[in-house]
Amino acid sequence: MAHGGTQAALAGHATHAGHHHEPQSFWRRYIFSTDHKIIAIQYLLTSLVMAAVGGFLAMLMRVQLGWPGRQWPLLEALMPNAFKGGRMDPDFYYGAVTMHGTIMVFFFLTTALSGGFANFLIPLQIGARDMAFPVLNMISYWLFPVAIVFALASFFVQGGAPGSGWTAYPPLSDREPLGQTLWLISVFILMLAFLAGGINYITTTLNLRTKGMSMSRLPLTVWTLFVTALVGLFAFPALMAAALMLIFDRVGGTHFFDPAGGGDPILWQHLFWFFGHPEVYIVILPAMGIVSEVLATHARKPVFGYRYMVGSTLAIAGLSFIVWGHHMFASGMSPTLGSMFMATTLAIAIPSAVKTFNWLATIYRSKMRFTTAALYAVGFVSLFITGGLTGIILGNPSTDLYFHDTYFVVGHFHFIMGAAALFGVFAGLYHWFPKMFGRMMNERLGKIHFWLTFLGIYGTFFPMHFLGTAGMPRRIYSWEAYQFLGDVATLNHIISISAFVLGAAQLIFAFNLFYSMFRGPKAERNPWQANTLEWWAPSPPPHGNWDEAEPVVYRWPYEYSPKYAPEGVDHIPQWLPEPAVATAGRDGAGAR
Amino acid sequence: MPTTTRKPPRTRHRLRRQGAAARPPVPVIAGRRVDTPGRIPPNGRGGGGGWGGGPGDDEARARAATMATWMVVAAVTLMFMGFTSTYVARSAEPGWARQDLPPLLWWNTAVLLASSVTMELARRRARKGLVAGARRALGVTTLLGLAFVAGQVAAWAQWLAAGVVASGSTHAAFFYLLSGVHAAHVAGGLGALLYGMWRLGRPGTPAQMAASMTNIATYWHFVDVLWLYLFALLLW
Ligand code: HEM
Ligand SMILES: [Cu+2]
Repeated sequence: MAHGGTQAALAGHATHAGHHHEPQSFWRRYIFSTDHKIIAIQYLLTSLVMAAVGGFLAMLMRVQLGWPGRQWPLLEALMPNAFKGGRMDPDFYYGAVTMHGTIMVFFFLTTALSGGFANFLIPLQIGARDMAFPVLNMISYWLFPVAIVFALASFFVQGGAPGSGWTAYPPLSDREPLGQTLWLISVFILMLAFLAGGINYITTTLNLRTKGMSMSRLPLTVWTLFVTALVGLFAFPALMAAALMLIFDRVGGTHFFDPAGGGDPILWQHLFWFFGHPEVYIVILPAMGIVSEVLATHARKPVFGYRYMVGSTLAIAGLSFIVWGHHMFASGMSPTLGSMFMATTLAIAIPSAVKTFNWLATIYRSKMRFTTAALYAVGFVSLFITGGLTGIILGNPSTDLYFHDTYFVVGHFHFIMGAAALFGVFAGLYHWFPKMFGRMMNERLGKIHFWLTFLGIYGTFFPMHFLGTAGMPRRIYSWEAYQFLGDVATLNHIISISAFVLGAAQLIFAFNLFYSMFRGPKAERNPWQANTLEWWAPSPPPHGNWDEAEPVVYRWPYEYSPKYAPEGVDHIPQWLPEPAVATAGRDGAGAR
Repeated sequence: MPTTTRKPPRTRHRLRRQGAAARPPVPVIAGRRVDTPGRIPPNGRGGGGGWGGGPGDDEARARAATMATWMVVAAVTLMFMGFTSTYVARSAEPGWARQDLPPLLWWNTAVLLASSVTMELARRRARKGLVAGARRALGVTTLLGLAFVAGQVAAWAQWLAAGVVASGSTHAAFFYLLSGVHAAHVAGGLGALLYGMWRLGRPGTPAQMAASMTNIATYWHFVDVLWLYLFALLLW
């Protein structure tokens, strides 16, 4: 933040009086708003609340796994039903497992990234005034709380929350009590919300770009959010179909999946993972876009290999639809089929590696400003590498048959999806907070938050790989009952303590977020001296985003430290007419 | 810290007013005067924001609406592909028994086909600017659509009266599932038809009318073809 207010002056766009916005009531302005930025903030804040709920459930799970069988009188006093007689109730434990996974994947990561950041960034970064369908956008958000109500209600109905995990495999999910039906309805509504949102993101990106904003000049965030919406458009309907059939099974007495009536539970697995694998990319692709953007801005270097970044995004999105079988290696599929799924799975490693090397090349020999956002972006790269390597181990059917449904898988996906996507969210929040709220977050608190989170993540999820190699199954309530697991007690203590540190660190973030929202120092237009269009708008941008006319775009978004620039200029924003100092014929667009 | 400028960056409005040949204001970077070639890259598509005003906005919105319609079609198709894959897998299993479908379905199919004809009529009339005629045709389409949904419900009643329940056989289960989810999509289409009638009563150029009629027709023909497909699947 110390880097002067000059960029605001360079943007030099005095706020014009004479705006013709009718005064709006509080309800129209903040609750039933059609402004993409308000909807973005609604999505973000709601999903952060859900992250807190999901995180709380995780802490309870770690209480049980760290010290199985121990009595917790304090927790009993707080939650008498969950801790009957001081011990965690097994049914509650499995409900917590299911709801933790569901909440984190659907209600936090997907909604924060594809609801929050997509809404905030797409119109601003392409120079539009709003989404193509603002009312549909509002409906998309309001379906989300409806889905939350259905999901959380399952805790309070007869039989409690479903215990079949976020994958809801039948026959267990065919038998569970009422909560499972509520879960299915909730997921169905949420998919509707995502589809409504996705249609907006795709049509807006394709149709509402401002002058000069060609597809080859889109910021990588917009690229990834756009491709993510496409992935969702193709993936969500599969789960919606599966959910409808399971609801039919449960309330209509049909037997699509229930083996007791001749149904086939493996069919559910196919449908679920045809959706489920693309879904994991739905959370990681936007995080990749955010990280690319944040790294380039704070490293003051152009993103390395822009075209390859776009190409690998498309490749990952396409491949993600033909790998679903790697979640079913242990379901008795034919070895031939298994090998085919192995081949497609390992093929994803190639575009993933392209991205990783490009990030490293972007950081390499840069003058990185280690802001909190930059730290989170670098942390993301570290987590992505660790999780990607264990993915390759699991992608081989021969090793996966051993690791399947052990804590090794839990370690893998928490690194690559849980933690990496979480880091993407944090990088984005610290980076765009000034634009969202017109105030700066506290960097000192941010850095403390980063380091505790980073160490907490490694401390929590790295040892899980060893639990997996020791044979500890996932979704287990009382591992101490198995003799061969006797020596994992120490690891489980370490993991639980790390998890509590990780959880506590988030309180620092929550404080920083809400304090800075109201009390933080006022932000300039462009505090990070970034090149993308949103930094041309006032902080926070008004309804309609641009004061008088949409900006015009002259070059790609990563013109950092260009050699041809005059002394003291280390970035040339997209909205600035091309300076003649540029070497003749040199066009800012494209890769370099 | 030395970057400043005297003038705001060039905006599109100013461009329009001055014409392409006019020199934009000259920004100053790092205390130096920096000349601007004033070149708008040729590859920019540019649609204008969705904020009302200029003709570009309406065009962009119309393009977006057409795309959105096709995306809805794609998403619904994919959902029914999910059902289909399960149907195909289950029908190959031993113990699969197909029952005869209620004959009423043939009549319903004819009604739905007829509604596509009237929909097409509405679309063509709207394109020619015959607003009143287009509204009448949309009204007939709506009635035929309602008749179709009512007919499907009657077909379910017939089957239920004959004792064929969803939990009885997988084929029966698929019949209730597929026709039910399809009927829900027809009901959504009825909403679109009502919107179309409202839209035709509002001011707009024939081109705009025709554009939104085309989107409604796309969806309506789609649910029609979808039913033909499902009917064939269930019969087969
Ligand atoms: C190099 C790339 C990757 C490979 C080869 C890979 C491979 C695998 C395999 C084979 C499994 C199944 C393990 C089992 O259940 O036995 C798995 C599980 C999982 N992976 Fe990956 N993965 C990769 C990247 C990712 C990414 C990028 C994400 C998310 C952003 C992700 C998220 C998950 C999740 C959530 C699961 C567990 C699902 C569950 O059973 O609940 N993976 N991975
Ligand atoms: Cu996968």
